[in-house]
Formats: sequence, C-alpha cells, structure tokens
Amino acid sequence: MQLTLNGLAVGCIYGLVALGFVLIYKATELVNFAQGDLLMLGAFVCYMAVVWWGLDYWVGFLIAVVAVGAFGALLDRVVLRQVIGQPQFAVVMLTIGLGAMFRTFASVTWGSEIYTLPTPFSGVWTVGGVTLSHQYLSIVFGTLLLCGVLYAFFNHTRIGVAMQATSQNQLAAYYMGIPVKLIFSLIWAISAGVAAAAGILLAPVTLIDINMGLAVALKAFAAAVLGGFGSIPGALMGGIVIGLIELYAGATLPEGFKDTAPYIVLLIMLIVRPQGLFGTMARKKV
Amino acid sequence: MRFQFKTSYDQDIRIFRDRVDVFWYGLLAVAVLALPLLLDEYSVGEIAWVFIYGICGVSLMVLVGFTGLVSLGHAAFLGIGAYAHAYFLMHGLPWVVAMGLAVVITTACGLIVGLPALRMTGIYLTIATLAFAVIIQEVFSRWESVTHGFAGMKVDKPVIFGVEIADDRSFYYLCLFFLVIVLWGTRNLLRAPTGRAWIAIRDSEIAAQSMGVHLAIYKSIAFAYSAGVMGLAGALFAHKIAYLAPDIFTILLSIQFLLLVIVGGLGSLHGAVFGAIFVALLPPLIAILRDSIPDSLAAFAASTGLTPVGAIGSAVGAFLAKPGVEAGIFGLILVLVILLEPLGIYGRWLKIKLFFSTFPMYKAATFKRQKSYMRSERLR
Amino acid sequence: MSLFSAENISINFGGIKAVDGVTFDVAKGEVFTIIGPNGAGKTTIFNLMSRIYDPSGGKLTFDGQDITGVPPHRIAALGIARTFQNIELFEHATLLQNLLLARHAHKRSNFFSELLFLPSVRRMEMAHREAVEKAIDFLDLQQYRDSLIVNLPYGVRKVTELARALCTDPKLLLLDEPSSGLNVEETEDMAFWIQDIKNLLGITVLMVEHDMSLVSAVSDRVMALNYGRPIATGTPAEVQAHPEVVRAYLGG
Repeated sequence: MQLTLNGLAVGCIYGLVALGFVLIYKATELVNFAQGDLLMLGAFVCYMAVVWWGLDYWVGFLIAVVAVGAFGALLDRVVLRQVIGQPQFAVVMLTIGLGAMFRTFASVTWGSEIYTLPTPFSGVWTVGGVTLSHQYLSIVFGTLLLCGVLYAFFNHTRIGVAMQATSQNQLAAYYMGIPVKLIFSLIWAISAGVAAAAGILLAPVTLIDINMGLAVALKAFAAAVLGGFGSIPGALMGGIVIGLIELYAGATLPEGFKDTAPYIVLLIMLIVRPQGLFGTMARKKV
Repeated sequence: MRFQFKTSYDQDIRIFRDRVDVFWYGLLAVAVLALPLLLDEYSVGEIAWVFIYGICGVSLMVLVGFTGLVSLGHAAFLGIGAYAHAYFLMHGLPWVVAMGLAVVITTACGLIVGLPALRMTGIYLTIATLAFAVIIQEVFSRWESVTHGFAGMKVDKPVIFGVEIADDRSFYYLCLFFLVIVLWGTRNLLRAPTGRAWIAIRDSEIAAQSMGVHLAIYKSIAFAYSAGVMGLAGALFAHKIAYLAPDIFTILLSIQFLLLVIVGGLGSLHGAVFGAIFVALLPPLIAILRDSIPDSLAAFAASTGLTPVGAIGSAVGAFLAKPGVEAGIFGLILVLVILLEPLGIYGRWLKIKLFFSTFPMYKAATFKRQKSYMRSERLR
Repeated sequence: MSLFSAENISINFGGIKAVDGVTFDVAKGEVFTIIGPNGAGKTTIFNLMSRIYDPSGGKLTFDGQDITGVPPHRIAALGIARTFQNIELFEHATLLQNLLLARHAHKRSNFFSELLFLPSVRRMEMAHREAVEKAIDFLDLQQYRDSLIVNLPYGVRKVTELARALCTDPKLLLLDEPSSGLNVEETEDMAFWIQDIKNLLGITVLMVEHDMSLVSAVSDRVMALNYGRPIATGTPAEVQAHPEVVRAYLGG
C-alpha cells in the first residue's frame, strides 16, 4: 500500500513532465528534451525564494511557476521559433543543448551542492496501520489539482479551446483568426510552468541538485512514449505506470532492476505495439 | 575559377575527382603522418582522440546522417565493443582476433536492436535505442564475471603480432590507420547501391520501396554496419582510456556523438571528421584558455596599467574552472550551430570553398535557405 | 493480349469502400487512363498495384503472374514503375543519384563486394550509369544532372520523377497525375513524352489524370471512376460523352 502510494507519487511527477512533453509536441511538433531541466530550474527558483529570501513556501511556489513559465514563453519566442520547419531531430538536439546550458547556468548561479527545500508537508498519517507521508500525498493531490485546472482551462476557456484547435490544424486555426504564434508561446509557458510545479513537488523526495531533471526527464519521456506520444491522458497514465513499475521492481526484484525495469517494459511494449498504448499509427499518403 | 570537364563516367565514381583533389588530400596525408614528429607526446595523444571520435562519427553518420534513423544509444555499442575487446584480450586471444570478435559481437547486437526498430519511426525509434542503452549500461555494472562491474577493468597496451604499441605516437598511427580504413569502406558503400538505398530511405521510404529497396534489409544493414564500426572504435577506445568502468558509457556520451555529427554537418563523411576534431579538441582548448587567459590578461593589465582587464581575465578563468561549464559551452555551440548553420562545419566549409573558387563572383544567395514552413512529420 | 489485369479488386478504409469491385485490363502497348472526380479511388488503385495497400478482395495479374501477394519492393523488379501525385523524390540527393537508385532492382552486387568496391561493382556502376544517361538524354535533363533536387523547380522535378521511373526499365509505367502543377507548355511537353514512351520505348502506360486535353491527346482507352466504381470505359471521346460521367462531374 505504501509502495503503491509512493509509486503513484513518483509516477505523478513523471506524468506531469510527460504532459509537458506532449503539450508541446501536439502543438508545435517539437520534442522538448529540456523539460527536465525546466523542472530543475523550477525547484531551484523556489528554493532561492524560500531559503535565500525567506518567503513563504506558497509564495515561493507561485514565483517559481510564474518565473519558469515566463522563461518557457521567452524560450519559444527567442530560440525555438527560428527552427520551425527543420527536421525534428535537429530540434531535439537544440533542446538538449539548451538543457546543458540551463544546467551550467544553475551550477554557476546556485552551486553544484545538494539542497533541501523546507516544505509544510513533513508529517505522516497512519490509517489502518499504513503510514502515508504528507510528502507523497502532496504530490498526488498537487497533480490531481493541476490536472483539474488544466482540464478546465482547455475545455472551458476561449483560449484553451483555441489551443486545442491550433494543435489539430495550425493553418486552419490561423485562418480562423487565432494568433497561432501567441498560442505557441502560451503552450510553452504552460508546459514550463507545469514542469516547475512538478520540480517543486518532487524536491522534498529527491532533494535539489543540478542533475535532478535529467533522470526524471528520461523516465518521463519513456512515459510519454508508453502513452503514445500525443495523448495527454496517455502521458499521465504512462507516468503512473512507469512510477509503479519502478518502485515495485525496486522492492521485489534483484538490485539493478529499479532503474532498468521501466525501460525493459517500454522496449517490450514498443516491440509489440510500436505506436504506444493510446497512440494511433498512420501512414503517409502518396 | 576552376571548371571540371568530365570525359568519362568513371570520374563520378572515383574517390578523388581530379588531380587537384589528389594533390590536396595527398598534402593532408603528409601533414597528418608528419604531425607526431613535430608535436609533443601529450598533443599527439589528444589528436588520437580525434581519430577515435572520427570512427564513432562515421558510425553515427551512417545511421543518422544517411539513413535518417536517430539513435540515442550508441554509447552502448561503443561499450560493448570496448568490453568485448578487453575481455578477449584478458583471456589471451591475439589482438587482431579480439578486435575482430568485438566487431562481430557489436554487429550482432546492432542487428538485434535493429530488428524491432524496423517497425518504429522517428521518436519511437530514438526512445527504443535509449532504453536499450540504459539496459546495457546496467548490464555492464552487474555482469561482473565479464566486466568486473564498478571495480573496473584494466586494459593493457595493444600488442599486435608481437609488437607492443607502447607510446602515444605509435597508437596515433594505429588509430589513424583504422580511421582511414573505415572512411574508405564507408565511402565505397556510399557510392554503391547500398549507400544510395540508405539515402533513399532517409528521404522517402515509400518511393524507395517502389524502386525496389527492401526497407527492412537496408535498415538492418545500416544498424549492423553502424554498430560494427562503433565496436571497432570501442576497441581502440578501450586502449585509449586504459580503464573501463560502466559509468563511461552513459547517455551523455551518446548525446556527445549526436552533437558530433550535427556540428560536423549531417549527411557528409567530411562532417564526421570535422565534428570529431571539434568534439575531441574543444575540452583541451577550454583547459588551455582557462589557464592562459587570466595570466595573459594579467600581464597585459600590468603592462598597460588597466587593472579592470586583469580582473576580467581572472573572472573568465574562474568561470571556466567551474564544474559543468564545459557541458554548457558544448550546449551553447550546439544551439548556435543549429540556429545559424544547420549544415554544420561542413556546410560552412563548402561556402568558404565556393567563395574562393568563384571569386570575385560569389553570391551569398547561392546557399540562401528557402523560407521553410512547418513540415509535418506527423502522418495524417 | 493484356499485360495487366485487375479482377474485381476492392479495399475498405474504416468502412468506406474506396475501391469497390473494379475490373479492368491494360493491353500491351496502349495508354490507358483512369479519370474521375476527387476521391473516386484512382490513386488508391495505384497504391494497390504497387502493393502499398493490400486489397480486401480481388486479384491483380501482371504479365501472366498473380501479383496480389507480392511484397512492394519486388514490384519494380517485375517491371512496374510509378510516379507519385505529390512528387516523392529523394530531395537531398542529386538528380543523378535519384536516377541511379532506380537501378536498384537490377543490382548484382552484395554488401561485401560494395564495401571493398571490387572491379565488378565498378563495372556494374558504369553499366547503370549508361542506362541512366539514356533516360537523361531522352527527357533532356542534362543540365540538372548534378543539382540537388531541393534546388530544382517543380516542373523539372516532375520530369525527374518520370525519368526515375523509366530508369527501372519498366514494362508498365504508372503515372499518377503527370500534369498536376505544370503550366500549359510543360503539360504539352509531357504529352509528347508520354507518346514517345509508348511509341519509341514500347512501354505500356497506365495513367491517372485530370487534364482532359492531355487525356484526349495521348490515351487509347479511358476508364471513368466514381465512388470507387467504374462507370464507363472506352475511347476518350466515348467516355467524355457518357451521361453518367457527365453527371459525376457536373452533379445532378
């Protein structure tokens, strides 16, 4: 039970980062490998606000999400807009390069030590003999809340619907008067903000250091693929599946399987169903 | 301006187009052969890295640049080659046999990875190779009877037919020899049906198929060949670092290989070599700058009385000395190359060459990129 | 004697019958054209013939051989070559490389002889080059030989695709809308080339086309298709005058 909760919590983080991948991919067909490093930046900004400036946790949370979100939009404006139309692979490498720059930036600004972010979630609940730590519960609830907000945003606001339309068909959206460029920047902002939130939620579990994003991003990427790149519920489901596999494999299988089990499952899944759990396989028309 | 008059079909098949080409490449060969005699042992050792990275670059160039299959797992093939070579050497097999077996084993691994990969496209293939690499890395650290896990594995100097390649100079020639062999073989494939089939698959699978290319076979060949070449590089790599440990063959190394082919210039063998020069020589260059900038600027400041210059110098030195800065510089260069020169160093090289060969009539517009629109890679 | 025949072929896409029981045959040495409104299933027939799609029913016969189950990469070696509606050239290769690739079905070398570039491979390459040069001469592409496809104008690409198909030494040439995107003069050139291909090279042509002037100029027989079903077959004039064809195009 505890294992399930922990797996669920870690899976939620993967799911959130995967969601960021998918949002950007659906809208702009770019795969953003720097997603994990945005997560890292989010955690660091929050740490800086809470520990250096002595602000309240929630204020720090808000500052971090907004700051990283704005940074995501800026990134889209300044860098990624230039490469639209280039091969996907070049863009992937571009984001890998950006990620490396963010890590260097973080290590120069905040140093390469490991930090602990003080949070209001330190207690535990004991329900029927099962210990539920607030840290993990906060992750699960935070994810649920975030997903709820995003769902409402995408389905019940004008701009959210416009984003959906843009993801489906850019040209048509453009002709309908939707400011496609602005929408792209907004999508980047949202997915960077979500990554930052995921980073802050994750901070008490893994602690903060400059490399925290990389491992998470790789697993989240696996999660997104597992869910069939391009499906938002798929990404969340994929994340949770990966999180659960990881923790159960770590607890029950011999040492060494904790980190590889998710990838073994992923490989098998790709061999059996190359288009992911929720993906669709289409063929190029000639 | 030089104009080439063609009189036979063979002129388009030959490796060197004409005598002018032969002259320049000959000059290059002489320079590369003479270099170890002019430089100190340390520099020669660093340049040997260029050759090893060059072989890695050719390997990845075949897969990514020519066949259009992106692999994030090539460090695993390098590792398999390195470990296999070291293992066979330790069990007393002759050097040539050990290397041959290492190449055969990595080729087989390439085939095994390639087979499921045939059904996947784009990003799914990339993630599958990544998953493979993560698993293999774990195997390196757990299969202790072969790899000695984290305790590491010492690799002795190569002994070929009883001759020990003991110093860096002879090892330099060994690496150079293999790089030339690999370049020659790959060039041969590229001017033959196999290479054209790869390029066809990269540009349009459906047309390639209609022209008689068996997609699965040619993708498998690309995977196997690329892995085999990587295995060869792995064997040399093992001698070069002399001590194998699982945490060398990480995804970061795979990313570095991808960086190499992009910065060098996708879709050209020249690019693989240019990229190797860049990737192998940038870290020592950064180290030299780190050590020399503060001193030289301090000397400058002392001689002119401009103290701020000295302060800038020491600040730059301190910045370059911080951990992780090297990765950031690589990242920055990668970003700049993709934004400003998508064809990489080779593309720039072509432009410079064209500038001089058509001087004074060079037009910047010759290479002007057409306005590109978003080309959907999502298949609808 | 028919070179190619399709018997009652059908294919469904998600419940929609894109091609629904089509039967036709192409005689040796003729130009046979399929016309029809958009979405009538013309290109789908081509995709069935080049085995990109598997038919859900029916039989395809080429040169006396059942090709319904032949894998797509074997089609070229049998003698069927095709062009594509929206040009599928190898864009980042030169025109020459594009045409040489078309000789792939005729290659007689294995991986290792190519790795060492043995004299036999060199001889084979020379022979391929000679075959390719014939197509280049035939279609007047000399000046573009070493240009990358991305740098070529649309009209030239269209001709390049035709040349590439010819380089496979086909018996049957499938042309998917050879005139789409071409201007009036280029379309006229295309008509002459199609006639030359039929008369000088003796290659049978099966074509999908919208431009009725081109269709009338070159076709021996025409089949009109609507909603995946053939509605008329005959000479260009007969089919154009057929009441069902008129209705399919003009509605009503």
